[in-house]
Amino acid sequence: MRPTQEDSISGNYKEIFLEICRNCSAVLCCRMAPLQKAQIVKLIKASKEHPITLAIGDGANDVSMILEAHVGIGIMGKEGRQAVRNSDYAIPKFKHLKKMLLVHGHYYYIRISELVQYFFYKNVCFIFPQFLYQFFCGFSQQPLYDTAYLTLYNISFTSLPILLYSLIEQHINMDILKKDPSLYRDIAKNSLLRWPIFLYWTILGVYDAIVMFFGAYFLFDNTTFTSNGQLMTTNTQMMFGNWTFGTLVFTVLVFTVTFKLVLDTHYWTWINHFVIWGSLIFFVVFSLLWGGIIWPFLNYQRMYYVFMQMLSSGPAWLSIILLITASLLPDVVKKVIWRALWPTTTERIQNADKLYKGQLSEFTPLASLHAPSKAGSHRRGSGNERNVPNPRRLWLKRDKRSRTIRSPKEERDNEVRMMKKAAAAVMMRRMALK
Amino acid sequence: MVDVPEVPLMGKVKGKSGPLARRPDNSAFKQQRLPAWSPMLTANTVLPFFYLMSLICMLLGVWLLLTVQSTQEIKLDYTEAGTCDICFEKRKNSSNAAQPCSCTLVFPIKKALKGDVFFYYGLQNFHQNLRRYMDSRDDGQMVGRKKNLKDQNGLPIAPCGAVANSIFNDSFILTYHGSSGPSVLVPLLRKGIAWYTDKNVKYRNPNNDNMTLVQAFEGTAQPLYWQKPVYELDPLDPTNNGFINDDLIIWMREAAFPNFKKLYGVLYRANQPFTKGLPAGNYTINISYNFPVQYFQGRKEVVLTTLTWFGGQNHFLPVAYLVTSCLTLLMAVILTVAWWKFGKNGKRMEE
Repeated sequence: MRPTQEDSISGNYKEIFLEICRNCSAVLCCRMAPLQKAQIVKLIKASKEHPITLAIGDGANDVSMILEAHVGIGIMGKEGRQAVRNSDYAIPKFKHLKKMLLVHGHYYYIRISELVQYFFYKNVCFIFPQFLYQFFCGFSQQPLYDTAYLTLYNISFTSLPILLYSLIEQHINMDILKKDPSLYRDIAKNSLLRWPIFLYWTILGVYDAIVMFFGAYFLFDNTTFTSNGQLMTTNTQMMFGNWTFGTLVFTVLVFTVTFKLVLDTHYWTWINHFVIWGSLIFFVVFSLLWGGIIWPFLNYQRMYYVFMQMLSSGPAWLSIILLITASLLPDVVKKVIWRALWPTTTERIQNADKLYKGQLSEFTPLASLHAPSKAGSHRRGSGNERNVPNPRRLWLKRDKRSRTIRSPKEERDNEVRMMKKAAAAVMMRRMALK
Repeated sequence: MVDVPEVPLMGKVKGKSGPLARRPDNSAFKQQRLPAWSPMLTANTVLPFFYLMSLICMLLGVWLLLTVQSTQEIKLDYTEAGTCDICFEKRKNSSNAAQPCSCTLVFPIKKALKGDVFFYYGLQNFHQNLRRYMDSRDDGQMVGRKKNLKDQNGLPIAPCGAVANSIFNDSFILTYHGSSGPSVLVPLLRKGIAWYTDKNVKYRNPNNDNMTLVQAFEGTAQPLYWQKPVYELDPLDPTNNGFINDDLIIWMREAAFPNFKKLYGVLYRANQPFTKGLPAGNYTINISYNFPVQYFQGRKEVVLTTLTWFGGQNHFLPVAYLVTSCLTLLMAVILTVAWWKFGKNGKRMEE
């Protein structure tokens, strides 16, 4: 492969070099000056798909490379602290890179992508009913919800659950993530923040908002929607007004978005329980307090007793339950169907983990769990399904049956024995075919 | 390099030094090893729930439908009906506002309305939910803090604001013409129809311990469109006069949508022939027609309805429950088929 005449004059072998590098799985460059290290990183960064690059080093000569790459990691080593000072992340030993990348990196990506998507979703659910209401109030910008609700929605009622989710969530066990690097492929190329997924969340938000608003609308419009109470006592059939309508929509909203997060959470610690149920309880308590007294310093008392009156009505309860269910149903169905028909590697591992209840032995090859499903497997970047029967699958069957605890040496011996057996079987099959 | 001997792993150890000095705690929280429950939405867990839910929704839907079917509703649009179109024409001219006008409406009730009967007046295309309209009220004044009165031509207005100003002032007298005997006036209870909390807490007359209501409202003017001042809304009953008048309170609770109904009265069933409700027969409503609606192309109507605990004739919720039940059942069936056909995931993973 020779460069063209002009290229060789200007010394421009970059394209050829890049081409060669992209076809290799690993490239070894030695005796590189710091500038050249940075140039290599730059070259890769500028290549066709603009990949995210990571550079790791421990010496002062690695600094330019660390600064150039998207993610720079410095190792606190014998060569001083230069690399660490210029890096995004610092680790004490090289071996820590594995956990940092495969476990923590993976977790943070899952958490942050859910955080971003959820935030947009819950605000779409929040504002779209207000937008829809304008069609019914003469486009006069009458807010649907009371000011206190408008202010506190994003601050108090729906902020803590997602915050704790983004700090604590673990969709797969740490050990499995460490053992199986191919799980990282599920999130490669920013797969969870791409347009299709974002559109899905937005459409879900719009759908939920429409269900909430029009569900309450048909309940209120031109009907005698009242609270039940005994007649001829002081609580005779009462009429509901504008603020009750808004409060009903708001109640359904807060519960729907919180339950959406409940459905998405895979790792329920006591903190999750505390925050999620606590937020809902706080909403109810706040509403009761806000509408419970005539506030002396306020000139408007429009929320006085509205929440309580709404809760004393049978149809209101029934419609709240129905609207929450109807809003969440499509998402649940989608999740279950996708999981059954097109599971990602992640989901399969979750299944396996659940099946063997954490007794996956240290030496169980997880490759055998990546069995391609019948219905096709074209999901988020995990296109590594192999159709050739995996000889190691025999071994997994054996493991399932015995389930005894063996020592590591025993396991290793077993492994070698089984591999030899499997290889022999494949050879036999090949010879039979000939 | 000399290794510092391993310190005990659990808990924070003070006074470490050397390369392990800044190691983070080995607590469950900091190492992200908190005990947790990891549920999964698989077909096994979700399917039974779907079937159960569809069953519950079906039962609820059917029950609610039966409840709603037992209500009856009669609606009469009287904007220009019968003799009322004379009043309609008259009210087009606002200089006639002080002159009374009345008209009558005759209608039959074919099937007796059993149980408690509620009399509503309804408006169409009247946006009580317009922002400036809804802002145009003074709750502080209505709760009895007199110093919140606002100025207009030197005298404060009580009650002030557009909401109070536009109060619905038609009144109705219902008469029953039984097949036997003379016409009977249908008694309607016009009190106790507002929220208890509204009547007793949110709306209070200005402090009048040893004054009459007239004296309490001294120094105020009536709203511009009213024909009588607020202390004459119900001079016969001091608990229904002034700000705590039921009609006023009901009107002040702004409706959510342009087409709405507000309660006017409840049938008083103590005496014959109304002990079981409204009997079948011919009825006449004598309307004192005051509220002009042609400015906003609105319509006025009168609604007589029986109610259950569930409300009036509202088919939405039962139908919605039935629809949800059917959809859930459909989803459950699809899921069952998918789950059956494509393998019970987790058991036949090697396929």
